[in-house]
Amino acid sequence: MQHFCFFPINGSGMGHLSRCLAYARRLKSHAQCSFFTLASAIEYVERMGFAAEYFVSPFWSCNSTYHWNTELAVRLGMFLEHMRPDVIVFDGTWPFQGFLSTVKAYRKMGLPLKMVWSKRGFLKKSAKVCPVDERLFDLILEPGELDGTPGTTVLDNGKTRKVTVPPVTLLRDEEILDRDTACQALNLDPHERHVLFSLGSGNLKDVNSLGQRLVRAFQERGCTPVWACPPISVHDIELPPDVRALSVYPLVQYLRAFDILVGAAGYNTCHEIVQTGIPSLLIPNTLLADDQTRRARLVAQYAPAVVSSCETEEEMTSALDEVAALARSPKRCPRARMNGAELAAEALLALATDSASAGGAAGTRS
Amino acid sequence: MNAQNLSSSPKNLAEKTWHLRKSWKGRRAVPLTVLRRYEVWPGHRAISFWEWLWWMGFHTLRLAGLVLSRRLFEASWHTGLKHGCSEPEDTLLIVNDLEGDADIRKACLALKDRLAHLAPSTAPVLVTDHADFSLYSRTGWLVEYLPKTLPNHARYTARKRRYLAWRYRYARLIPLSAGLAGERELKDILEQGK
Repeated sequence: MQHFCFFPINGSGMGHLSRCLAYARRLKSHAQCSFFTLASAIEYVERMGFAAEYFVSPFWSCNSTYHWNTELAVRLGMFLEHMRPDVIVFDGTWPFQGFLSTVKAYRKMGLPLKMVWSKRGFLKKSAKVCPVDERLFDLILEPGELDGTPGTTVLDNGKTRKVTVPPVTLLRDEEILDRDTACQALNLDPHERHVLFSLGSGNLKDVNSLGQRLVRAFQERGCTPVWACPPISVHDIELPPDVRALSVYPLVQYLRAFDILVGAAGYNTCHEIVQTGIPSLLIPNTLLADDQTRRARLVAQYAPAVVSSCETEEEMTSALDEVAALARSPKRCPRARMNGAELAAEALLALATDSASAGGAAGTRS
Repeated sequence: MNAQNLSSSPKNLAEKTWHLRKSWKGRRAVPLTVLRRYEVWPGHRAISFWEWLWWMGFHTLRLAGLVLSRRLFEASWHTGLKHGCSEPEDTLLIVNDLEGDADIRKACLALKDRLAHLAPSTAPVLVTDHADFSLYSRTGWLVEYLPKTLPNHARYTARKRRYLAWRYRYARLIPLSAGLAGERELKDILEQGK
């Protein structure tokens, strides 16, 4: 059986980790999967049935870049020597020097290892370009967007394949709970109107914050607010007493318990909205490298979603009116292809099979 | 985990700590092979002339045997976290010797509160085989995880434990169960470790 090692880069967040879990869950019946993760969410990886090792994220550590990379190299090296994977899949925007150096040193020992970069695109034009050469990898896996064109190209070295897949989602459609079951699991009254806020771990007691204003506005319209807290967070969020905190993973499994979702326009949230069809108010985070405004507008073509910055009272009122109307009478949306995780798993398996036959022919693997 | 760390059945916290420190001290050896094998070099990207010059100097020092030795000093691995103690004066290695979820949770939270006033400038590092990172992330401690879910995990964790014993050789060491003991006892073992 082929063995895949996944290397997601999050600190507190779960985006890269969720994408790797999506691949691993599709591979599970065909291959062995393990995780070397910088995301401090080991319990969730293990609960899904995967072995996992943890190393502190550079976003948390006070080490200099060089010292963090040298320590990463040793830790990852020891892990690879023990696990002996056929393929390592890096999911992040910028492959670390320590990661690339470890793979090189590991291969020098005569141990075959294919290298994959799961590289989410959709960056803003102003975003810094990563200088790491894609040709160092055997496969570039591009988790696509709703307007993407799935397909395969070969880079100019004649070896590296670049596979773009449709949007990647953690769960299959049939794994998402219906409204009644989800309400029951979360102990929510199915007869009430629930609004889920998935805006991150800001302090909601700050009366001037956008979250607080939105919570109040929805309460005035008779809705019950529920605030999604990231399962791994470095501090507890302070919530007003009448706002319920919810910390579950994966959140998408329970999304249908809610009448409306208010969220930022990150990769996973957007595609989960399309997958579940839940009416949503999307507030793009313009400070990040990915183009969330463009992605949110795309989502609005495939799901009942309203895009607004909600900066002024007028903008917020108008957005709330629109999303409330969508919740009352959902619009019919075209279906989008959401089988990116399945296609990515197929590409990974094909790569590992090539590697196994090459390794077998050369007689390098025991 | 406690069975492997504590060879006897200590009667009190001081004795337990003494045994733990002795067993960790016995494991430490310079992991020279792995340090040399996984030295980090550039080469994966185009670099500027000045960066190239810097790396040439670095290579020269390495050939002279002066760079690797730098890694043998404590300063090469900073144990502070941005959301914890970011400018630590020293490191406190906390080794989990407890089993139940509730005990671990109680000990971590109690220790976090006590260390805030007993050793505020110390960066704690928790060594554990118990995955409760939603708790650990709120403590502000660096976590060294010894995974039980890997195939043939005993071999891997034994190797990692030896590495950690070297990596944190300058740190004071206490068992996590110190969080469940009285404040006087905790203060004593912290003093002993200096």
